[in-house]
Amino acid sequence: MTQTKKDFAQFLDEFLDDGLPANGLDARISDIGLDSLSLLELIQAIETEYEVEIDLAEIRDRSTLHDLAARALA
Amino acid sequence: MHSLRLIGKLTELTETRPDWMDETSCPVHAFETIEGEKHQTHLLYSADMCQRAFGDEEHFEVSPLAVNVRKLGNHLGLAVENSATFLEDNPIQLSGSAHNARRREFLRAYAITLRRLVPALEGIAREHFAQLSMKPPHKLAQDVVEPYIDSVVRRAMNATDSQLTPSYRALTRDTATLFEPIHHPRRIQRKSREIEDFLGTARTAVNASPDDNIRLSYALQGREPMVSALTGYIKQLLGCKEAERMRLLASTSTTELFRMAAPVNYISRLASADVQLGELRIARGDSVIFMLPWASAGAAGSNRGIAFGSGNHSCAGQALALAITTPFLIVLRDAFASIDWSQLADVTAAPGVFRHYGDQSR
Repeated sequence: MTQTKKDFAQFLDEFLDDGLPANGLDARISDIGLDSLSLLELIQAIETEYEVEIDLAEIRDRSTLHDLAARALA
Repeated sequence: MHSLRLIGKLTELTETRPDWMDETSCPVHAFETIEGEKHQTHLLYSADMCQRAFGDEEHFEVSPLAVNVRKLGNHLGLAVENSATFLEDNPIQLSGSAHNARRREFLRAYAITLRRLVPALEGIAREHFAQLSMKPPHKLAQDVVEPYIDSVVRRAMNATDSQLTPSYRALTRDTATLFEPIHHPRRIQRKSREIEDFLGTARTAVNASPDDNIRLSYALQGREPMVSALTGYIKQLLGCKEAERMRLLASTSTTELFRMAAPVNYISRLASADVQLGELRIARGDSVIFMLPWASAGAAGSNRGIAFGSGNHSCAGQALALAITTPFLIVLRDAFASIDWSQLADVTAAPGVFRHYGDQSR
């Protein structure tokens, strides 16, 4: 992983109640146990931390944490 | 995750919907269900099913948009008071006698506005198209439709352009963010700020009206659907062959325009009790989303228009919308040939409660 993706993984690990899943950024967003409100909380945190804007329509049920990282680091 | 599946489905549908919904746009199925962990969300494509659900207030209640906004605000520490207050005080969020009383107030205010606007509308339209004939448009929504609608909306608010422009422009951007089934934290907070800025300007600048909510409704509920419907219609005109274009220009009525270019992609209700809707079994707590453009396409040839909803919560601004559209169509018919359309950039629809238009990105 690049340094920035590693940072993102660490950011997620600290944010998520259960930490980063065993398969790391390969995990699907839909599989990490977030309800709708928690997902919005995560989006808000990423937008604030990485100074990006993420449209909810960009995130699909099959999107992975890698996809989220790509948006955050774009 | 249910919310992601729902957003994904709604995005897929609204991104790919035709500009002009005719009979070929009717989906094969009357409904579709998005499974959730606790509850389901049922997308209704059938005009019949939509009409029945709209009229069944015993089993379907308004979706708790304001509650969801407050919940999001409290959970994430967002300043969303203005958005929540606007929604709470609006007929779309009220039920029973409170709804009936508030809706009457809105209808009364809209009727007064309509009487004031009607004598001026044709003149506004003629001046607008005269300008277009002299200066070719480059952007369909921004150059061809918005100036007319914004002139009308500002008159409805009893304000001049110079008094309101900065806060009005911010306020009227991305208004659908208030009405989405899942509110985006940044956007709903921003909209709250924009409402506050606008009201701050409006109260000092315009003739005083005690009803901020009604004043806001023109901009937050009326403007965007009006612009998208007219944009959809003109895009259809520009995309078809000459003979069909002449036929559409000559014969499209305002009601048909809103049916075919239905500007509201979806609205929702919450099932307050178990109910059977045709073949669809809906459980208490499930959500129902009325896919209005698809239902409208399916109602082609009947008088049962669905683009403005139906039942007690049908669009209170329908008469206004139709009255504002008619002069635009009449003058467009006369002026079309005199406008140089060759420099227009492509218009791409974007997903959302309200159909987006132009080249704004979300």
